[in-house]
Amino acid sequence: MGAPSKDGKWIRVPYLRFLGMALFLLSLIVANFVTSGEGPWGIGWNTFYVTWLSYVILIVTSFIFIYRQNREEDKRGESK
Amino acid sequence: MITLTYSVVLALYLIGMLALGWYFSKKVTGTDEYYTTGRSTNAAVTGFSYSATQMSAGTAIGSPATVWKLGYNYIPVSIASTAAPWFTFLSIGERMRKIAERINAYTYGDIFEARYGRHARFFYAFLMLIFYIPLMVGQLKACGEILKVALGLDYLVGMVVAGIVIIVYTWTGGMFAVAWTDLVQGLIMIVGLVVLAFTSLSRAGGMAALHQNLAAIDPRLIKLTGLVTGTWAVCNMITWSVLQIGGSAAAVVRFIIAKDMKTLRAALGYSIVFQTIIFASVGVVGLAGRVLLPDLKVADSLVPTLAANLLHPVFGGVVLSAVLAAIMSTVDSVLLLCSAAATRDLYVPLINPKASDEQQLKVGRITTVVLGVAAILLAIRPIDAVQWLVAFSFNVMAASLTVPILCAAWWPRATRQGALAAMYSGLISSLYWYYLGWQQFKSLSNWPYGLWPGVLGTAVSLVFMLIGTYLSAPPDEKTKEIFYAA
Repeated sequence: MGAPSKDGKWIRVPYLRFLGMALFLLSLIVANFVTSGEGPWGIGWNTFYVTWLSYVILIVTSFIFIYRQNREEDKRGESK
Repeated sequence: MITLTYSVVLALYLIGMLALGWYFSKKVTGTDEYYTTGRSTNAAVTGFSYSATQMSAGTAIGSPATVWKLGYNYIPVSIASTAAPWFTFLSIGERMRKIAERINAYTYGDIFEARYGRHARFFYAFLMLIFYIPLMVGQLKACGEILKVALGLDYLVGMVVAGIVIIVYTWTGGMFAVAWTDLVQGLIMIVGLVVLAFTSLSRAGGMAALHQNLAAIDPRLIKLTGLVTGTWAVCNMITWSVLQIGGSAAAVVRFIIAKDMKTLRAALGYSIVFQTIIFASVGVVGLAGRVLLPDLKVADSLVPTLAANLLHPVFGGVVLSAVLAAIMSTVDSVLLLCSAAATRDLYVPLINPKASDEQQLKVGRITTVVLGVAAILLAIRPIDAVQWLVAFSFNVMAASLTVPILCAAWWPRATRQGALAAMYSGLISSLYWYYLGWQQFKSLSNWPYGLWPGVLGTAVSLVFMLIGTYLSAPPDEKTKEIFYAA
């Protein structure tokens, strides 16, 4: 699946992007099955940290993406 | 006193929404402004509008209630929902924005016709009208019930008042009013739910005490799985994150109203932060609510009961406004999308192909009112289970539309035959799976093997897309040029 892109005429399929999405979802699923609810900090804290870490990862990665994309676009001098 | 304060706060909120509709009515001069704001919205409005549309009674009422029942078992769904704007943007956001500009598309319907032909457009319009109207009915029902619980107002009066306010501002201001009210509604949701989350967590004794008390009620409440099966949990996460692409057309259409790509990306930032705040608050409210109100008889009454018991009446009024905001921000967007489907996808191609822009605007506004009134009439005696009515519409649309949209964005080889096969197979298989779930469990939220209909339907749809595509001739070069040129 994908468009030809050798001559730059066609779009490129951003496979890395899709892989990143799949990895995030996969890590969330794995975290679901490995957390016991217990933890070195007391009951329930493993679960707490897994859930909050997911939110932090989401926010940080999205802002890095936005920053990088905007920078690339500025280099190319386009905005639409 | 409490009822009076609630009434004043809610009245101010509703008047504010009407005022926004009236203000933006002056900006609507044609269908382009009515359905897309002329692609002029800024990042904050686009981001908040996307998220507020995605959040509904299911978020403000259903999710805290489900967390109350399932504890941490349901929290990953909140995270998956928070990831949804990120996933949809990465999967189709940029591409849709570019394609929509090239073909002057207002909705998925325009994109489907340009890529897969008119039959696909009609299928999409049919799906919107059939499955989004029950969704509106479910949301209006939630409005009526919230006002009944909070103010003692008759169900019918509360539901009709809220419905009329939505119809009026959507009718007058179109997408301008819908998007800007979404922003205001989003801010109200943040204030209301954050205040409620902090107050209820504090009353529950802080996080450590909360965990201990939850474990005392049922140790499975503090694990991420335990009260639900593994397959159910995984499907739940996939459904509310990735499948938003097809399941939440009313929200995804926001991608094509942003001013430019930079605005769209900034909107994504607003959206993620907004959703994190809301879904985290909803989770805390549900967990703390279980400790504070362990014997609650109707889980759906958790938020209004906590607001009444814990907060000053003014903040209680804000929380109720937040719940109404979540509902109204969904209904207005769905109403406008159905109006666009009826006007652009049915009226123009089937009845009046030469309709002028002025005529289309007139028909669009009339359709908005007619569909809104129809939803109100159906909500007079609606069926129960709001959360699962929302999930039903979502799953069926996700199964039917996710694969064709993704392929329209990325796959030049995809053909009309493949897309139609994918649409119909997704629709039929997801409905059939609901039927089997009903047969086996007499429930709209349990299915054979814990496999959700949206996930199963999307997998079937993908298989049919591949078969249909490879059995038919590739699309013409002109179509490829429009959709896939860099």
